[in-house]
Amino acid sequence: MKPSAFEYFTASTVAEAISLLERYEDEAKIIAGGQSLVPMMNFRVAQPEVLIDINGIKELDYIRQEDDEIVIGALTRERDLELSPLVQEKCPILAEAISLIGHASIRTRGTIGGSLVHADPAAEIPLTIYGLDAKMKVVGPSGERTLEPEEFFLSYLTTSLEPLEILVEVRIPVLPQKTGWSFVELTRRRGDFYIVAVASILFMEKGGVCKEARICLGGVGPTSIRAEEAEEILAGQVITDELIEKAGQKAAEAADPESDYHASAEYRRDMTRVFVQRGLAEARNRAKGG
Amino acid sequence: MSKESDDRREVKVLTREKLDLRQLVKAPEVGPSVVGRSIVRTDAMLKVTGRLDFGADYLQDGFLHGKILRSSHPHALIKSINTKKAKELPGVAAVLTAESVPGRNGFGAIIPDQPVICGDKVRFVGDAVALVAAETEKIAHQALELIEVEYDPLPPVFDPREALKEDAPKIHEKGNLLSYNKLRKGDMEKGFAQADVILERTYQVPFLDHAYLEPDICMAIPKADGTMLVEGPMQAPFTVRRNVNAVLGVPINKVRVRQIPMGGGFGGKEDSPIDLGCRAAVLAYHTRRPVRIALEREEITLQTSKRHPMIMQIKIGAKKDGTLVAFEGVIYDEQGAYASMGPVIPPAGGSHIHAMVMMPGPYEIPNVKVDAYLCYTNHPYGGAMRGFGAPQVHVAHEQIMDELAEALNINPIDIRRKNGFREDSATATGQVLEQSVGLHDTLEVCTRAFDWDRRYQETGYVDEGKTKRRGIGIGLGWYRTSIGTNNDACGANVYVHEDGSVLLYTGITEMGQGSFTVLPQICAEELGVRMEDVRLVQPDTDVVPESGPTVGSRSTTLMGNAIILAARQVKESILEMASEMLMVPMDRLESRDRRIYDRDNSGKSLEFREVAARCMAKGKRLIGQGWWAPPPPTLDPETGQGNPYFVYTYSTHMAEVVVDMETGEVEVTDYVAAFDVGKAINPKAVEGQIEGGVAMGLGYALMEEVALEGGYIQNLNLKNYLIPTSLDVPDIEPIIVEVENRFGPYGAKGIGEMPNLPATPAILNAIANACGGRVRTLPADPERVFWAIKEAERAVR
Repeated sequence: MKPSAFEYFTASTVAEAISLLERYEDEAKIIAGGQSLVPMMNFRVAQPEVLIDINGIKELDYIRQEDDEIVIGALTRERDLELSPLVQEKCPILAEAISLIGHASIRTRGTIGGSLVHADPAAEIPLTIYGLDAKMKVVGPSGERTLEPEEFFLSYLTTSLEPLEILVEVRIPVLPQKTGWSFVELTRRRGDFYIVAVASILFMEKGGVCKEARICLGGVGPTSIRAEEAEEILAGQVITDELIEKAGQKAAEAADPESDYHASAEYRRDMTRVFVQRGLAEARNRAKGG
Repeated sequence: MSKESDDRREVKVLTREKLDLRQLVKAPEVGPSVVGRSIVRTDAMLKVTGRLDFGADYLQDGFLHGKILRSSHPHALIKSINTKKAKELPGVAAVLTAESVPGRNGFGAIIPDQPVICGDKVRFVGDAVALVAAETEKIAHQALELIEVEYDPLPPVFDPREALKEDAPKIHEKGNLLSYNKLRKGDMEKGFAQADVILERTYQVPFLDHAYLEPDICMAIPKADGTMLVEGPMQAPFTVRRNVNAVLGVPINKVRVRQIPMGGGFGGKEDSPIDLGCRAAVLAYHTRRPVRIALEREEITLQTSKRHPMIMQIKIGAKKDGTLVAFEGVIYDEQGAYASMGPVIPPAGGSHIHAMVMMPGPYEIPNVKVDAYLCYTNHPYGGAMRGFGAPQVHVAHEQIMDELAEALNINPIDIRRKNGFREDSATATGQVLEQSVGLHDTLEVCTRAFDWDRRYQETGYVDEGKTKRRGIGIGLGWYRTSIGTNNDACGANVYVHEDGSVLLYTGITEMGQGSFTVLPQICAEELGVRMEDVRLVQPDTDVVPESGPTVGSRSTTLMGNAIILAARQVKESILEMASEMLMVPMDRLESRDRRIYDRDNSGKSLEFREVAARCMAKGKRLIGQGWWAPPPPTLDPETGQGNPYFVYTYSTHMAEVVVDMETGEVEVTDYVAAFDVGKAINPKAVEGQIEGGVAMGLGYALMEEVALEGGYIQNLNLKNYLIPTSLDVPDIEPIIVEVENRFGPYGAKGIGEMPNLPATPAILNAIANACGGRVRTLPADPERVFWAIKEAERAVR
């Protein structure tokens, strides 16, 4: 299909974009990479009357380190993050997760900000952000505020962004040395949305003990979730195969998947177990420097 | 010879005489001939640079936009239709219902059982209940929403076995059994009595969508003289004309059908252009204005034909050494709502009877019985899709051969070596294969190239964590050239001009398969001119001779012969003239590479164009017309015995896969496919067919399925209807084997449909070899493989 008719504006500064938003309020949609919005418009799932193109706001395209944080402009392309030596070194789980988004051509246009505000429960970036103590900086007519993932993501395709606000920046703490991590997913075909995805992070202490574990599950419910009971099994422990096995089973219990013609709930639940176990094993090996 | 036009990348071509298994690679001979060379496709540059105009690129000025209101029920009576509000909408030119159809309100490739516009009842959710033409597509969409239809829902039928029950709701007046066909050979009781092992299995395949890249489009343009011009991408312009003329109620010569560039067809654009052509023509007839109907992807999935789903039951018996003694098969072939390409055109045309004939596979079996039921249901309708009933049965016979080999503890290649067709083998229909049977050549070449014997020992876990297992699989295949009807002739005109340039007129269409390259190659070869001297005229029913449809892997062989016959008529006239001019007897003259010369004294020669110009001046024939039909098919309706198709292409595929034992994910990691094509007119084009076909067969094996729930399709677009991408397809090594077909041009036979048939079971067999579980209901997506592994594990315990 083709999209319904819309008016189109370009903004070259954040202030300009906000004043356009003030003028059109909820009739308007911001377009960045357009990799989710344009298909939704073509399917008429989204029918904005006004599009505000922020691709000209060059000031929102950056990746840099400030103290112990990686600071990323909302307009930064996924492909740039995937290939960034800084991200690969300081927050490798993000680079890994992004490499699994669709295909290279999609990542070349798609932006980190676009993926976050779209809040698709089957998308790689929101799932990863869940485990990372990230902070989202948003700007509106009355100033800026900073939101944590739990505040930012409300539910399926819904964030706490106000209609006149724009996401401008994401700040992600640098992962400490020896942190174990992994991002694993199951798709029916390469490059597709995942059936199940698991982002695992193991923060380590001296002596090979896991201080804190984070296990984020995607595809098994209406939003990404943290498998908290599984995380508790690992906290304060030297991670053994037995513990990984148990954590996988606990995580599968936390999953609440639905059946569709791609996969049954039963299969999704069992795959949650498999991928949590695989993800944790991989994360543990990385923590060991293996 | 223009070297730029040759694609010189390596292609393996082996002729039987030179078949040397130690040296697989042999460069094609580079000589002055045009045939056998990998000439770059005539449309390649236009396509890769985006300069070729497809239907969607055509100017739309002055056109009305046609849209179709479809049924909201899979099976219902239409109580009333109110079009008043839609007609009143500004910009709407016509809103048509059943009574607006001027002639026959029905179309179909074989039986016209599908209404142009449904009047009394609807039989699937793709049925048309009203047509709209409006100034813009947007207004047309709005008008559809203003049409009010009241339905009286009827109980639907969604399973062919249910459809056969006596109390099943009747979808068509004559009942739900569209065709029952049988094959009887030998004595079943005696056959099974000789068997040491008997296996019974059921295999099931779903509806498949063609998923061609180019959405369907059709333009109907009423001309001042009362002629209706219909243009669009289509595989069968003559079938479209035959339907449009009946629907408009005018003679054949009042309809002109022109094929325009086509972005993929795979059999699907045999049916859908009939549908769109009739509907656009009816709208154009009423509005007296040009009308275009351009389908959106979701509309294509809803409305157009699919590959038939089948439930296939097999009972097979063999001796300890693997010798097959009996084969009993039942096919429940789901036709869906309309007859399309399913029913029998005597003696052996239509997809259903083809499936029946092919079901026992390329194996000599003395006792065979097949019963095949073709049933209407309230699902989308099955039509032609690359293989026409054969891909389904290949899934069954190639899997049961592997299951049998396993039961007998025989290597899968050995059971095929023992039973596979050879020259003078008799098929299940009693046809003796007298010539061009290269099955074993492909088997041996493929075994060597794939290194089967080594790999067969090296299956098992591939990773330290013991989660992934490697396996290999084989699939044999055979496929007819021709369509098995008594109406399978091709005509061609060849017109040489005074400067030696040539126009070639045929009704065979180009859908990506390469006909517009291969056919001029044959023409140039026969005349003795260069490839670039021949321009092929886009098929146009006003201009080209009837050629039948571009289907059945028939184009190169049947049309190639017609072109040779046409070219010979002109060549004879030219050689006669040259003989006068050179004062050399005609039988000593040779026409090659734009020159006509004395074979005994090559210094004595003329340019082809000088002679052509003299012919023109003297009034000697410069136009030739050739017609060719294959040897007539036979098939007894009671016993299924006879010679249904005159020649077959044979092949062997071997695949390696890696299966994730915990998740069921499958990766195809290596692939070799060997084909006996008789003669490769253009080896690179054959290679392209093989690679594309393998990708398509991989999709059938692993991911493709039209998901239906209560008659409604769940995956209407390509986000959810999965087809393989380049990331899912392994490197494919194609090998061409040439075992001459004495009925074919330069020995050629068909290749178009063949390559996807053995690919599906080769991959399925490799999965079973890797993980021990077998998926008998397609597709083998991760979850189905996962459950098959679980089942196999339970069986071991």
